[in-house]
Amino acid sequence: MKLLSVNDLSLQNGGYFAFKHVAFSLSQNEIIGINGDNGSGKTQLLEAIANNQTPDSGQIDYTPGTRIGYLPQYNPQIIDQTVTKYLEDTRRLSKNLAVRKEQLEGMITFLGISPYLNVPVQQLSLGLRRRIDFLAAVAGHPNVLLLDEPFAFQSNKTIMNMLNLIQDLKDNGSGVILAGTRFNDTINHYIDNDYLLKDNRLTKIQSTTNTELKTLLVFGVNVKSVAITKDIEEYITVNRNGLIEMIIPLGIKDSMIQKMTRLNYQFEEAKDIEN
Amino acid sequence: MKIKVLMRSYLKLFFQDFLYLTMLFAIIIFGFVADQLLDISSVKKFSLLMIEMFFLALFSMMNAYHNDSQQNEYLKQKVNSYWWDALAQFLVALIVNIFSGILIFIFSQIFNRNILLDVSGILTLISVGMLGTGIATLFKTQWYRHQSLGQIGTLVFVLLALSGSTVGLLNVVEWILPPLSKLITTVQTEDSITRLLPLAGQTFIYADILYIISGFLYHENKKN
Repeated sequence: MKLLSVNDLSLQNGGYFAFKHVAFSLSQNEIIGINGDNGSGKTQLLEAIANNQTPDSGQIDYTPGTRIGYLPQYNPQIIDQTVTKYLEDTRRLSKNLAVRKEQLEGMITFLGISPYLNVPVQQLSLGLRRRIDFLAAVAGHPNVLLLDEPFAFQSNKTIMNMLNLIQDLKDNGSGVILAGTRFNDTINHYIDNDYLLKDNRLTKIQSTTNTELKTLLVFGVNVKSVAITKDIEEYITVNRNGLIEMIIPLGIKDSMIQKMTRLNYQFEEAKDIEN
Repeated sequence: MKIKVLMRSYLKLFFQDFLYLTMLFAIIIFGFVADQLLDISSVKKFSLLMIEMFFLALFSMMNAYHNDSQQNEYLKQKVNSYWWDALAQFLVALIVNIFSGILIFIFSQIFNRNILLDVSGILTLISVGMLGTGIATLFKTQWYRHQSLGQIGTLVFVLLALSGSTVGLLNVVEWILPPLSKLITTVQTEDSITRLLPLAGQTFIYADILYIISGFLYHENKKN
């Protein structure tokens, strides 16, 4: 089911177009990625969808009952409440539609915010405040989640945890729009439809990780082979009879062969496949 | 919950940069020392306190809206309720004006055992405060979309509030003017603060009407 449709949307700021004739739709169980350089208009587009900016032309159709959760690029609000109080108050704004209190507590722990529960939000670092803003956007259990540069200032581990939460929301019927300068392969792996905002136009990118070329690598195990590290482990599809098979994005083929060779695995063969 | 979150936020905006508190304490000190400093009667001093209360309410509410425009965009997006927001603005203005009115009157040295005088004085100050916050609310667009319009509107309303009863030309339309100057001229001619009670009621209703008009005015703008 479609959650929102953006039709021929244009917005000018001070005589300059932020974006022109933008059109796309977001459905349930879908994650959309919007890539674009700094100043390309990603934030303005998300602001328009979140109803904070009035577009000059075009329209956005929201399916009745759509509730938007928004993580802005920069939140100027001065929050002197503690993390627990702020997130609980934010959760309660959505009443019985929000995530349950225990779920929120679980998410707080999952994102590593537990040590800061009694600290006023204003005193936290920028990265931690971003995580709290992310949880504040998610706490209302929105069916449309707009995330503007959500992974800025975050460690790889936190990014993975945030992606897992986003995936979980998607699996529960929400639609998610991620905007960022450039998403890496790990993030692209979660994105269903990828768009590029360039020269004020939004165009669909055909090759996200879900559709891009991948390659199958086969390695032989021998007595000198050492334990495989976690970052490699996630790509392994088969590990039996002294052979390891892995499917990886084509872009990291060479570096992966080098890494495995360093770990004393014997490179056997490579085969390009389309996902 | 929405009203609680919004009211907490607006109260914080009032107090966060000390403009309100600094002005309030300056007025309290003026009320405290005006007798010795200027050798004026209670009625004259009360006239001055009404003008000060009006500007205290106007400036502090304008400052709160300015802070609101800078900080609260995303809070409002989360709350997503225009009317709760408008109600929170009104209630916070009422609370702050009650607080200011009581403090200013108590420390003005006019406060005495005559309860009618005390009640009249406090209610008049509160209603004048509501008039100031009402004007700031009506023209809050100066911090959002229409800066010049909001500033000009505020200036015109302040001028009318202060001069309405003293300009002969405006006598015909006096009933639509902000009744501050009427309060001041009445207290001077009647020489009694208790006689201001009906006018205080009129001023409070006038302020409420300003809030209602701005409520609908900005609601339409939001739709567009």
